[in-house]
Formats: sequence, structure tokens, C-alpha cells
Amino acid sequence: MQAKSVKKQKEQDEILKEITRNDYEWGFETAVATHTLKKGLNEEVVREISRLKGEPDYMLDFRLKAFRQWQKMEEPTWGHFEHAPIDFQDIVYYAAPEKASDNPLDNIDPELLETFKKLGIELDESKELPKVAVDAIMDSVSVKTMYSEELAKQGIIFCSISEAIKNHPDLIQQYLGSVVPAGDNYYSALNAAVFSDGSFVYIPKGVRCPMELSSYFRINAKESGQFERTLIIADEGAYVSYMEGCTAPMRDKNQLHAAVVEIVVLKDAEVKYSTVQNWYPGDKEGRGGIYNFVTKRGICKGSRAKLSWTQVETGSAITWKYPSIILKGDHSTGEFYSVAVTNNRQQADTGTKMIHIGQNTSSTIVSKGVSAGESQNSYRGLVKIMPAAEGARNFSRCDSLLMGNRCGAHTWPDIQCQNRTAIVEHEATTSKISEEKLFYCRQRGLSEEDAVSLIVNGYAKDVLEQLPMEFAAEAQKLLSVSLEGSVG
Amino acid sequence: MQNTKDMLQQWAASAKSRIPTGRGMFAQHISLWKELAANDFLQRKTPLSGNGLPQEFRCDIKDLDTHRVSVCNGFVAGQAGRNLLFPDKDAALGNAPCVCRLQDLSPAERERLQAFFQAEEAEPESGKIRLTADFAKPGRGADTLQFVRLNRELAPETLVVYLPAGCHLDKPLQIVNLCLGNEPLFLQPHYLMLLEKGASLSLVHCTDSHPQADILANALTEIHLQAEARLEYIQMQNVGDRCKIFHHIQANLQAGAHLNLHRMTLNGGITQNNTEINLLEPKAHAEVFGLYLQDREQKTDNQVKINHVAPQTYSRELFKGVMDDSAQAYFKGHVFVSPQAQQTEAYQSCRNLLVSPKAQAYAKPYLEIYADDVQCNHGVTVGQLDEDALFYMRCRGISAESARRLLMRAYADEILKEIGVEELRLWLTSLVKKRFSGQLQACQDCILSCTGGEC
Amino acid sequence: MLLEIKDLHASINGKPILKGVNLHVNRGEIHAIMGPNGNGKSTLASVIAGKEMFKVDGGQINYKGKNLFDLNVEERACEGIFLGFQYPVEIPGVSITSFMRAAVNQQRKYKGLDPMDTFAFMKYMEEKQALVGMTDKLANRSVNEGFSGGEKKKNEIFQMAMLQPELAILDETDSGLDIDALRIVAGGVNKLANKDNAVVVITHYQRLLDYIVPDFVHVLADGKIVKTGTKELAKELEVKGYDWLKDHITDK
Repeated sequence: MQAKSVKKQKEQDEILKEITRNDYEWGFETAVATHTLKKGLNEEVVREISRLKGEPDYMLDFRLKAFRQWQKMEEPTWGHFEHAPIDFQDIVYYAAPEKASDNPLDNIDPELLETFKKLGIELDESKELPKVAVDAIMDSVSVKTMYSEELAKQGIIFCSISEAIKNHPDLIQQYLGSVVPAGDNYYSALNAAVFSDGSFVYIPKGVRCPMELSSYFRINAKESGQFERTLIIADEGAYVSYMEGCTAPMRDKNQLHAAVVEIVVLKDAEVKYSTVQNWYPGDKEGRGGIYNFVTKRGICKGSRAKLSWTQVETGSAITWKYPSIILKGDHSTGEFYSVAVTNNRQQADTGTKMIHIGQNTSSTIVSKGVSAGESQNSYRGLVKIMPAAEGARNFSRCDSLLMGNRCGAHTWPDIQCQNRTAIVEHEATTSKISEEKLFYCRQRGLSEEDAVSLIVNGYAKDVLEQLPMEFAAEAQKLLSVSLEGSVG
Repeated sequence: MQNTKDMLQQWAASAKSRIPTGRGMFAQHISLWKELAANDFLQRKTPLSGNGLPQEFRCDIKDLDTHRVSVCNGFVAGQAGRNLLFPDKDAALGNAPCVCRLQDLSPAERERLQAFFQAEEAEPESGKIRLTADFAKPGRGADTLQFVRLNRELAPETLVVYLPAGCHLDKPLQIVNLCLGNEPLFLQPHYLMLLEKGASLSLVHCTDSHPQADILANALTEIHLQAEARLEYIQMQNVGDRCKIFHHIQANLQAGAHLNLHRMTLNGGITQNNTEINLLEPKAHAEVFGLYLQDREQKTDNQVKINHVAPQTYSRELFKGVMDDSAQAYFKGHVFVSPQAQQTEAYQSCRNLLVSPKAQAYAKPYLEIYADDVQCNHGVTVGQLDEDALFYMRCRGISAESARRLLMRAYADEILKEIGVEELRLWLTSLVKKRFSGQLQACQDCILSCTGGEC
Repeated sequence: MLLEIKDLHASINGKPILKGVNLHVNRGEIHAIMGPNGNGKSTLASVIAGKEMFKVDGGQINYKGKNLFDLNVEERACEGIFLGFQYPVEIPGVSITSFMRAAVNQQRKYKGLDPMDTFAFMKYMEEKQALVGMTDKLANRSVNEGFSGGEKKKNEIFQMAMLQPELAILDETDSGLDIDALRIVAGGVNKLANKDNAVVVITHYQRLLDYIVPDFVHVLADGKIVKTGTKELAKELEVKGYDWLKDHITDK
């Protein structure tokens, strides 16, 4: 009896400690033997990455070409954020947990399994959980891809991109770089040169993927960058819902994450891509945190194709990311739903591009920004209606919520209409969190933080509703945690 | 003479490196730098004297009774040294309202006046706490400063409008600005307006040209409104297709001052209307309206920057355009709210109608906000006339063409109804009506003697 | 004969809606077209008015001896065809007064008459406003903008009064009306109906027919008029429902 109550007391203390810590919950480090390359980037490093991964020649060529382009490019400076210059020679471009290369579960370092378990990712297929196939990626390599065999029965390919490069060269050569060419921008070129791993998905004609697919990205090694690359192909009439999550340990130094995601949606196919981005945001004073410079783009290639991006962005010191859609097929549909929360010294510049090429294409943009602390939060978006896009439609709604008077909320939309039969509508509002609503909630007994969390969740509801169920609860919790300490 | 020529050569040379090169989201299609860098730029004449120009023009807007001042190619018509409102009086910044040339004022008065318009040159973005994406590169902010400098360097004359404290003119002031010439010209019209505490004024500013005139203008209007001053400024541009008008209007508003600015672009080859308003003190209030009706190869670019520097300031923008043929319209609105500007209200809206397959519309409605207790919104639409409404009207027997025109007029009315000078509103309404019924071609040929839109 | 529809076929986006409609309407008659929703009632009205979105695939419509398909939307209106919309369109910025003046004068022009001057027009308008009980306040507002459902329908009847059509087709004019509004609307229609014009009322419910008594009732189902009768037919439908009719058709 005595022991039990002591234990309970201890538990309560823990919970209390947990709550008042107000800190990044995923900031632990895993002690695992890591094979890393030396810092710095040159042609030799690019060759070494390709060699370490045992890649065919075509990949090495792809990488070297990208590297040479990158050398001639300059960092983009138009984002609404500031950071000290990045020393690209002070970054480790390849870090892999040892023993991890394409092995079955038994061979995975138990520390790694434990790590993913702590993150809420169960890599053991025998566990009776809602079926979500996960590709777990630690630093530069894929640790484990689940349910690959089961999915393969329907012709679905779900594996690390390294495996796909070896096993599915046709698909890789046809589609890699077809949506985001290596030279698209500075970070996509860098990624193309040094990307180490990522996920690959192919859904064959007419197949509806029976479970959610998911990638979980974890940066662990010190001073390493993460450059993953994801390629999703939905063949005619196929459907897949794909989720992505990410975390990193707390470190004083900024770490670079420059990923590329490409999605190809063929005729009558549909892809739903959901992200909960929770990289380490840095501490209250803005020390450390991930620079999240990501290029995500999909193409609706055939008629009636549909692509939907949903993102919940709460992490990273800096976010620079514009998941975009090229609406090429007639009657194709693009959607972008985003919640971006910034607190403390975080800076986010995120949004989308919708390029309407085909006839009767339609796109929807819903963006909800929340700025707190001393953070800066920008929506940046392009809606372009090309001359051939007869009957194109776009509706955009971009709202910003401000909490406290030291943060900023900005909207930088760009609307270009070159077809008179198109209808484009853009609306945006900026306001602070309503005192009346807060008061009303508190009068009913909610704490101020709970009230904020409730109101913010309500404000973001249109976006959160788009998330797969497995993600929605996590996202809601994240929103609350991210805003802790932002009022009062 | 040599001096001016050297100066122009320097400007032309430096312009080449300043042409905006941004692509995609950062492309800037209309820029004075492009014009300055053009091969034939240096062949344009920059007139240094107003000798031989006509002194008085008709602009008989029906029933519009105004104090009229004429400006031709940047030169102010009227007797030297006089207050053009009261030709028997000398130009002076005294107890009476005064419209005159800047050079007709005493050096002390000039100094006093110019003091109002210098501060912002040193630090135009006083409310800004960091470089924004927009200003970090040679974008509008930096360019604007350069063009202000260019105008000040080259403007041969400056028209001053001065109202002392509490003064209210019995009728609107009308500036008739005419661009004339048989050869290509580069002009620098320059206006300084100071309204002291509590003064109020309605100003009608018409810019017309000979239909064949080949004019490049870098016009500048600088406005300072002291506390509680009110200015309604209605600008009408109706120039020939070969004219390229770049007109920057810059206004500083003190506590409780009101500015209602209307920028009406009825005709012109390339028109860039820049507006920059600084709401410097609490309760300053600015409304900017724009209407642009474009056809053929015409291009308009409306750029509006509103800086909310002080708390409890208000701004509203409403721009509407109708683009026919291969016309292109650009809009860039930028509302900036500084951290001090709590309880700001800012509304920004841009609506475009495309009525021909080749017409294009571009819009960038920016909000940059660093204060939390604000009410800000913006909206942009690009579309066509409502097909259901057209069908409904045709079902009542109205021809498709009439229905279209009725809808377009209703569309423009939302802007026109904001004009406070009634005679002018009626005249403009009829002009717009004509424009939509395709009669304005004829009107163009009689711009110089427009008889109230009944031509 | 005022209107004669022969074997009319029409489709939208390739989907056939009307599959052989036959209908005769004479001056002085009131017709009611009833039937389940989604069976082509509104399509028939739109095709008569000339909505381009519907494709006529076959058949004929003769109106006052003319081939209706030779006339565009506004010419049909000027020839006296009036469509009362199920969902009247909102036209921001255009007042009812200027809208009606444009319509009245355009129709007069079509008939070779001089336009009405402002004074005469305002007087004429006042007269018609009184007929349907429309206030000045409403008349000065933009067409249908922010109107309640009842106000919109009242505005339709007001326009009918202004334009004095020879053939008025009222598409679901009763939908969304409370009983008072329904009385006013029906009262307006009854005042306007006379021996020289004809009214076709399209409705889903029998309710309206308590106030507007039709000479003929037609049932439109699956793109065809499947049954024609007198007002008793409407009563029968009210009691037995449209399903009864389905059985009835199959029996046949």
C-alpha cells in the first residue's frame, strides 16, 4: 500500500515535471554506433556516398551532374527569415547507424528500436496495432520498412529509395528528378547530389493501397545534415495516403535538413500526402534547431488526377517549404491544407504553388498560421493560371493568428491569371486571438493554456480534419505543446 | 544644359544594371528602369523652359466649378511670383491658401516647406524593423527612392499647394496637367502639398495628353497632412497610347488626418501608379481607390504601400480593373504594420475582370504585420462577368451586350461612388459608361476639349 | 396556339434530360407542370427560355407560329416569354430600377416603340410595385442582393407585372415561401393572368395550386409528360404521391 502510493506520488511528480518543462519532448539522443563521413562537400564526397550505397552508374551521374549545378548556384535570399551564413563545408553529409543496412528486424540495434518506440513508432509487425506501414529513417539510411511483403502481393512497392535504385531502375530513371529537376533550386540541387535515403512508393494501376503508408525521419547524429528523397508514383486509377513525421535531438548547433519529395499522379489516381513536421525548433533564445529547407512538388499528370498536401508545421528553427502542384491533366485537382505554428524565435516561410495548365483544373488552398513569442510566420503562395487552362478555378484562404506583440504574421501571395475563363479567389485575414473567446472559455473553468489550445485547434480545424485519423490526435497535441508558454 | 544631359546619361547608364531581373514570383514587368535603359531614351527631349506653351486649357467637366491651375509638360502656367488662386496676391505661405511655383516663394518659406518632405528620404521605412523579402533586393522601396531623387534633380518647376491651419477652400482645386509635344519627351512633373492642422481640400488632378504625344513622365506628388487635415485627391489619367506615365504619390499623415486618394486610369499606354502612405500618428486614416479600364496593348501597374507606424491607424484599399484585348494589369499592395501600430485596421482588396481571351491580371496582395491587436484582411479575385446574372438579364429582354455593359458599370460604380465631388462623379460615370460602350476611341480625339463627356 | 412543343429532347453534358416532351398551351390558359424533382421540370423551363447550357437534341418548339430555336434568349424575352427563376440571381451594384428600365425599354425598342421617359417609367413602376406590395426601399436595392427568399420571389412577380409577358413560366415560384408570401405571389399571378396570356406554373407540391387554379395539370416524369388532367389530378397526386404514378405508368 505504502509503496503504491509512493509510486503514484512519483508518477504525478513526473507528469508535473513533464508538463512544466515546456520543452521539446523528442529531444533525446540515441547512443548508437554511427558511421559518418568527414565534414565537407566535394566531388569525392558525392562519389563516396554513391559508393557506400553501392549504386549503379546512372545514379552517380545523376549526383555528379546535380553537384556541378549546385556549385554554380546561390542560396535563395528572398525568404522572410534571417540566419547566419551556412557553412556547407562544416556539415557531415553521410551518417548511418552501423549494422543497419538492409537487415531484418533482429539485426537492428535494439537502441534504434527503442528510439522509434519512444517516438511512438512501433516497428514490430507482430504487434496488434492499426496497420500503418512505416519506413523508419535514421540520419542517412532507412532502418526498416514495414509490411513490404504484404503490400507486394498487390504489386505495391514500398521500400527505401536506395533499394528502389537497385531493384526498380526503370521507375527510378523514368521519374526521379522529373517533377523536381536537380537544378530547380539551390537546395534541390544539393539534395540531388548527396541524398542518402528516403522512401519510394509505387502503386500499380487501379490499386487502392490497403493501409496508410508512412515515413518517419529522425536526425540523430551530431553535425550531420539530413538529405532524404522521397518519390511516390500513383499509376492510373491508384490511391494512396501517405504520412510523414520527423523529430531530432536537442542540440545547440543548427542542423540542415534539405529534402526533396516528388509525387507523380497519373490519370484518375489520387495521392494524399500528410506531414506532421516537428523537427527540433531550437531553444527559447533561438539557439540550435533544424533548418528545414525542403522542396516538395507533385504533378497531376493525367485527367482527373488528384493530389492533396496536408501539413502541420510546428518544428524547425526555420521552415522554407512550398509543397506545390502542377495541374497538367484536364479536370485534375490540387489541394493544400496547412497549419504552421511558430513560437519563441522560430521562423517559418511556407505556402504552396498551384500551376494550372490543364482545362477545368481546380485548386484549393487553406493556410492557417499561428505566430507566438518572437517568431515570424509567413504564408507565401503562387497561383498561376496558364493561357490554356480554360475554366480553371482556384480558391485560397490564408489566415493568420497573432499571440503576443513581439511576433509577426505575413502573407505574400502572388496571383497570375492568363485565362479569362478562370476564376481565382484569394482571401486572407490577420487578427489576434480573441479575448472574448478566451474569457468565455476561462469563465467556464478552462485554464488559459487549455483555452488557447482549444481555440487554436478550432481555428485549425479545417486543416486538421484533412489528416488521417492516426495523425490527427498527434497533430492536435503538438499544436498545444508548441504554444505552451505563449500566453500570460 | 550640359549638366542635364550628363545627368541623363548617367541615369541611363545606371538603369541598365537596375532593370529588375527576377523571374517567376519576383518578375517585375513594368519598371521605369526599363524605360531609362531603352535605346531611344536619350533621344527624348527634357524641356528646360516652359516658354511658348499654352497657358490655359479647357477641361469643362459639366457643372464642375473649381479653382483651376494649369500645368503643361511640368511647367506651371500663370504669372510669375503670384498666388495662382488669387492672381492679385503674391505667392506666400501665410494666412491665406496659396497655389504657386516653389521658386516664387522666399528662401525661408521654401526651407520651411521642404522640411516636411525631407525626413522620409533619409529613412523611408522608418517603421520597419527588419529587411523584408520585398525590400532586401532592388525592389520597389529602393527604386522609389531613386525615382524621387531623379524627379527632384530634374524637375524644372514644382507646383506648391498650401492650406494654412483650419483653412477650407470654397470649391475644389483642379490641376489640369497636359502633356503636349511633337517629339518624344521625358517629363518630371512635381507637386508639393501641405495642409496644416485642420485644413481641408478637394483636389481634382487631370492628366491628359495629345492623342499622338510620345511622353515618358516620372511624376511625383508629395503630400503632408498635419493633424486633422483632410484631403480628397482625385487623379484622372486619360492619356494617349504612346504615353508612359510613372506617377509616385507619397503622403505623410499626422494625427487624425484623412486622405482619400482616387487613382483613375482611363487610358494610357503604360501607367504605373505608385502610392506610399505613412500613417505616422494615431488615428491617421487613408483610403485608396483605383479603377483601371484597359484595352488594346495597355498596361497598368498599381503599387500601394501603406505603412502603419502609429496605433489606431486605418487604411482601406479597393482596386478594380477591367481588361479587354491584350491588356495587362498588375497590382501590388503591401500593408505594413509596425510593432507600435496596435489597433490598426487595414483592408485591401483587388478585383479584376478579364473580358478577352488575351487579357491578363496579376496581383500580389501583401500583408506584413508585427502587431497583434489588429484587424487586417485582403482579398483578390480574377474572373469574368457572372454568367448567371447575364442570363437572368437576357431573360428579361436585355441584349447580351447591354447586359454586359450594365454589369461592368455596376462593377465600376463601387469605386466611382466613393468620389466626393458630385459633378466629377457624374462626369466620370458617363465617361466610364462610354468607355464600356466602345465610344471612347472617339472621345480620345477630343481629349483637349472634352465637353463633359458628351462629345 | 401560343406554344406548341413537339417531341422535345434535350441534354446537359451529354446526359439526356428531356426525352420527348409534348405540350400545347393556348392563350387564356393556366397550366401546371408537376412531377418529382430531378425529372426535367426546370430543364424544360430553361430550354424554353433559351439557356445555352442545355443542348436541344431533337423536336420542335413553336411559339406564336415561330420556330423558337431561331431566337436567342433576349429575343424570346422580347417576344413575351417570361421565366420566373427558381433561384433568382443576385446582381450587386445594379438597382432594380435601372435593371427594369433597361429591360422595359429594350423590349419596347424591339416592338418599335419609343423608350419610356424617366417620369413615365417611375409612374409605371409605382403602379406595378403596388400590385405586388413591393416597397420603394426594396426597389432601390441591388437586384436580389441580400433579399430574403420571399423578397426574391416577390421581385420575380413584380418583374412579370412590369414586362407583361404573353407566356409566363414560373419555375418553382412557391419553393421557400411561407404561407403569407405564397398568397401575395399567387395573388399577383392571378391578377396578371388574362385571356391574352398564358401561365405555366412549375411546382413540386400541390400547395400552390390551392391559390392558382390551373386549367390543366401535367405530370413530367423521366423526361416525358406521362399524364395530363385537370386540377383533380393534382389533388390525386397529393394524396397518392408520385409513386402511385410510377405504378400507373408501368401498368400502362
